[in-house]
Formats: sequence, C-alpha cells, structure tokens
Amino acid sequence: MQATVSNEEELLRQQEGAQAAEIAAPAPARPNWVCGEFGAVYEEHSQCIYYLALRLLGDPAAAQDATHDVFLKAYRKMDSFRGEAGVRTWLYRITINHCQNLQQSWHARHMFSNADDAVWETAGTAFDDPLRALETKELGQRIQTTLEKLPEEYRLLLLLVADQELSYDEIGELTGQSADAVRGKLHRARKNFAAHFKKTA
Amino acid sequence: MNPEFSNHPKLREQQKLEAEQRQTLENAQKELAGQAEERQFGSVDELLRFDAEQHPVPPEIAERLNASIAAEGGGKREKGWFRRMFGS
Repeated sequence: MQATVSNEEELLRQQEGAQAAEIAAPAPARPNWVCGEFGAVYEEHSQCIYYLALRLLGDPAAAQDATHDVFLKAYRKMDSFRGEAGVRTWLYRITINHCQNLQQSWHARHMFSNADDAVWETAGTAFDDPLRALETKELGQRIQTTLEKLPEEYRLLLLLVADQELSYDEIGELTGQSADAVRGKLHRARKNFAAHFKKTA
Repeated sequence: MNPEFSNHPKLREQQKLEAEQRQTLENAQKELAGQAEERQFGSVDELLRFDAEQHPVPPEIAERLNASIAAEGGGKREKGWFRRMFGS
C-alpha cells in the first residue's frame, strides 16, 4: 500500500512539474508572414478566394489545396506584383487560372467526385447546430448542382459578381471583356441560374 | 408471439407510446424541412453571398501555408513588397 501511495505522489509531482514548465515556457512565436503585410493580405482575401475555388472545383478538399497553392504563388510573386490591378483582382486572376488548369488536367477529370457526400460532410460550416449545418449543406449542394449546369462563363461571372468588392470593370478585366458585355451576360446568367435552381428543390 | 402476451395492456400501451413518438419525430422533421424551404433570397447574388458566408476558410490552409512559406525561407520578401506598395 505504501509503495502505491509513493508512486502516486511521484506521478503527481511529475505532472505538476510539467505544468509549471509549460506555463513558464514562452508561447511559440507567430510566423513572420502572419504578422507582416502578406498576413494581412491573406486575412483580407482568403475567404473570397476559397469560396471561388470551392464553387469552381465543387470539392472542399480541392478548394483547400487550390487556396493554399494560390497564396503560395502570390507569396512567391509578390516581388513582381506592380500594383497595376487591385490585390484582390490579382489574386482572383491567379485563382481562375489555377482552377482552370486543374479542371483541364487528367487528375481533375478522373479523381474528383463532386457528388461525394462524405467530402462535403467534413467541409467547415459556420454553424455548430447540426440542424442548421444540414440545411446549409443541402442548400450548398443545390447551389453547386445548379452552377455545374451553367456554361462555365456564366458560372464564373456569377461567382465574381457575388463579391461586392469587385466592379463590373474589374470583372471585365478578369474575363477579357467590357463592363457592358459583363452586364449583359450577367443578366442572362442570373435568369439561367434561377431556372435551374428552382428545379433542384 | 404468444397471443396472450401480445394483448397485454402494458405492451399495447408501450406500442402506442412508441407510435406517438415516431409520429412526433416525423412531424418535427417535416416542419424543419418546411422552414428550410421558406428562406427567401432577393437575388442570385444574395443567395451566393449567403452561401459564401456559410463556408469559412478552413484554418488548416493557414497552417499548411505557414509550413510551405517556412520551407522557402519565409519572411525575407516582406519588406520589399511592403516598400513597393506603400513607398516606405
């Protein structure tokens, strides 16, 4: 009995020592890029870039990979970024090119499964409530299904215009057309989307 | 099943209770489905913006980016980019 008590006391002393060491140790330093300007760029623009990748690729895991790759490319190229376009437009351009390359690759044609529910089950949502999460997931699947029925150009235009920070001029720059052409195509794209979306109910 | 046992009042009462519970659950599920359909959006743009808000950036991306940038000797390019953008 006495041996058991001393073992427990020893264990307790070790635990207390470990906790004290943990408290005394300095917190790990934040990486330089997080504190710097690139960190601010990531914080401001990562949400819209991730969402664009998500709806273009239709796969949360692929969207995560794409977002990582886009920002890594941006980090590598930031020396050559001349500031002629806005940062967001610049990032969108990298994202669009990256996603289009992926979609044209053998890997995209053979490895992605947009209808894989298990992938969407693990995708993050803004809700902890499982019922709200289910509702969000179902709505998201309807939106994805609808977007995939549209011509690629309409899909891209709708996703870009949903970002209120982009002007029609900037959308035109990204898609290689005038603001007026963007306006006209968006009108048709919205009608097209609404018609298909209704059928998914 | 022994007919005498299946006609036992307590068993019949339990079966009735289970049937009521199943019906309550089905009604709740139908009500929830109805509530989901009632969400209205003024435009396609609004719908997509709502959808975007429901998909926050996974924190794993920043962690992976951190590892990738660290592998490239991260942080050294910050000052050049900053000076070029803001002239300081």
